[in-house]
Formats: sequence, C-alpha cells, structure tokens
Amino acid sequence: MQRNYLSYVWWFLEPVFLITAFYLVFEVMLRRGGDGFIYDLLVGVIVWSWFGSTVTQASTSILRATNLIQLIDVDKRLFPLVDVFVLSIKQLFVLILLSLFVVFSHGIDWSWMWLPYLFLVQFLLIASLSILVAAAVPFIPDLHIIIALMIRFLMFCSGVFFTADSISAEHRELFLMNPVANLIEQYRVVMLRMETPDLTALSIIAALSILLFIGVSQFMHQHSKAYPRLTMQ
Amino acid sequence: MNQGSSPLMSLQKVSVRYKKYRTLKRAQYHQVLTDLDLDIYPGDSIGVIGRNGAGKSTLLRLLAGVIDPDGGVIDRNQSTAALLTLQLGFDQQLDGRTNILLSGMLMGCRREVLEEKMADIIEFSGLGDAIREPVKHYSAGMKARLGFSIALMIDPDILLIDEVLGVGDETFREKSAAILKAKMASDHTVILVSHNTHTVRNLCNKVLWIEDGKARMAGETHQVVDHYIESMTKQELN
Repeated sequence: MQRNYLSYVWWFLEPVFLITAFYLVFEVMLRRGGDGFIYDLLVGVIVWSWFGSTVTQASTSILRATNLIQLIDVDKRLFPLVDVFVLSIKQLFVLILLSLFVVFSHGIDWSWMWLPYLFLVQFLLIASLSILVAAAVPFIPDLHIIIALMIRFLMFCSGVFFTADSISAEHRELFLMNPVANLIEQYRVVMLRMETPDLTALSIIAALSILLFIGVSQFMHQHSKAYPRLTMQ
Repeated sequence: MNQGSSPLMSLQKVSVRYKKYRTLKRAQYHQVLTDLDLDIYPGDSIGVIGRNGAGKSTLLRLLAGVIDPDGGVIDRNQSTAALLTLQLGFDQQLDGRTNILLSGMLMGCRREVLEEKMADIIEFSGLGDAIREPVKHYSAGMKARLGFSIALMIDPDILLIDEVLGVGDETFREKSAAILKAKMASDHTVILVSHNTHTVRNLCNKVLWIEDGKARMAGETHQVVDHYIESMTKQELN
C-alpha cells in the first residue's frame, strides 16, 4: 500500500529536478531563446503547473468521493477545496524554491513585495475555477475529458513557453485577457523585470474570481443532494 | 411504545425515482419508492425487510438526508439521523488516532467530543499501541474494529443500520453485537435493514416490509415477519 518512500520530500525534489532539467537543456545544451530565457520559461512552467494540476485534479474531486457522499450528508464543496488547499501549499514550496533560484542569479528587489499578492490572486482564480469544474463534471461526466483537453490547449496560449512581448502589439491585449497568461506575465514582471505589476488587471481577476466562487458555491449548496444521485452507480 | 409522544421523523407519501437514462425526447426513470408512509417514534427499533432491490437502501439514504425525495414530505422535527458506517473516510497513510478524528468529524461529531471519548474508543477497539501506527499496516479485522468503535460513538437521534452485525473476529463480533443489542433495547431509536428475519425478530419492536418500493405490510414484528416468510416460501415453491 505504500505509495512512495520519500513522501513529502518529493514536494522539494520534484521542482528541483524540473529546474535542473530545464537549466541543462536550455542553458547548457541548447543555448536558445536569448539571455535569461530559462528564467522566463521556469516562471511560466511553475506558475502554470499550479493552475493546471489543481484544476485537473479538482474536476474529478466529487467523482472520487462517490462512496462517501452515498453514506453521509456532507457539504460537497469540501472535496474541491481540499484539492485546492493541498496543491496550493505544495505549490508554495515550489514557488519558494524558484524564488531562491532566481534570487541567486537576479538578486532581489522591492517589487518582490507584490509576490504574496500575486499568489493570493492566483489562489482565488484557481479556487474559483476548481470549484466550477468540480460542480459541473458530475452533471456531464464527459466534461472532465473536455476539461483535460482544454487545459492542455490553454497551456499553449498562456505564454508558458514565450513571453507577452514576443506577441505582436495588436494581439497582445487579447492574449492578456486570458487570466492565466496575464498572471504568468505579472510573475515575470515582478520577479525578473523587478517592476510593479499591472494592479488593475490583478484586481479584475481577483474580483471576477470571487464572484464566480460565490456563485458556484451557492449553486453547490442548493443542489447538494443532487450529487449523490448523479454519481450513484 | 411511546405512541403518545410525537414522532422524531415522519414520512408522508414519499416517492423516489432514479433517472436511468435520457433519450432525446424525455428521461427514463426507475421508480424506487412509491407513496411510502413511516412514523418513527422515540425508542422505536424498526426492522426493514424485503427482497434485494425493494428500496431498503434508498429508504436509509432518505432518512440519512443523503438524498431528497421526488415526491411527498419528510418531517424531520429537528432530529438527526445517521447511517452506521464503517471506516468512513479512512486515510490509509495516517495513524489510528488521526483517523478517529477524521472519520468521527465526517460523521458529524465535534472534535472536542472526540478527544474526550478518544480513550474509550481506543479501548473498545482493542488495538492498544497499534493505534499509533498508520492504518495501512492494519489487518482487515483491525480496520473493521477501529471503524466499528468510531461508529458506535456517534449518537444521532435515529441510528440507521444496514446489516453490519458481523465485523472483525469472533470475540469482537460478540462484543459489538451485544452493544448494538443494548442500544436497540434501550431507548435508542434504531432503523435496521436486514435480510435476516432472525435478527429482526430478536431486535425489533416494529417491522416494515417493502416490496417493489411500496409498503407491503407494517406493524408488530412477529406478525409481519411471519407473513413475509410465508410469502417468500410460496414464491420459492412456484
């Protein structure tokens, strides 16, 4: 039954391996993408992975709790929220590791003060989208496959592998309408370019996320007893 | 028993249907319970009998508040009902103590109450020092004992039991059956779903016989059970 030997140590080892692999391939072997591209790439990959892994996991959170919800009348919002909190704590460690790696090469600046705010906004966005997919998937089971596909698609249009200024000016505004792309860009602004992030954009993302969260949360509360029937086999 | 007092919970013309599948024009339903009436008075031990698929488990789900009925009314009168469940929400990686808290809280117990009862729960389980080990190292019997010890600590107004009178080894089975019997004989209110007419005869003061989602007969235990057995035998002969 033991799933792995190092358990929580993997929370540190995983990102260390990721950073090392990217460093070796892009900096030492390929020497591609110009100076410091490796850092843009790492910020992109790490910020993305928090989003992608949490929303994917949350989409099946109620399906995984099928047995439990057949037996007790429990608040169904619990299940996506557990996924969101567990993966966010894990991601906080990863972000700290990334920060150390960046500080080592770029140094640190007052702009880093915005980092907790960025983390909070991203948390709100992830929580609201996670609870949305968790609430929807039991109604339309095929949706979790569609969500997995959409997340993969979203990864390619969120600027994980390229920066916003490599996009032509006419399309950049549209590109930054994507909240994930926008957040990744803001992380790069704060951590690498040492500038103040786009506070308007961040506030809009935060406000919309909170509204979405409240709406879905209300829906799940009202339809709490529909879920055992939907997931019953 | 206690017919003078008001019921803890009462079901009036309750119906449940499950959606089987949906065609383009309309959904197809499977009717599970139809116009079921049931009054549960304090101190009742009601046995629910019937064949597989008669709707017994659905009735327990309704009472536990897991699902709402599609028709009729459930008057809960602020009383709580909970299904006796074993190993609810166990996390294999965590130790026995933590699982007592986790599982107990899922069942609706407050953390402080569980901390208070912790020593009793551990003693009843008979697990001793093993309680500090991760549950994944437990044998199936040990897990069942821990699960049962937690489940016994919950104290809803109405306890719902779905045929779990045999868990763990022989000694533990006797111990747990004795406790359950004591609970049912005292002024605890219990609903017991069972195939075993012998158990029902021993433990229940009233019986509800469900067939095809409808109440076929309800009332005094021996009368209902006798008719039930008669009907079953007839069917086997045909």
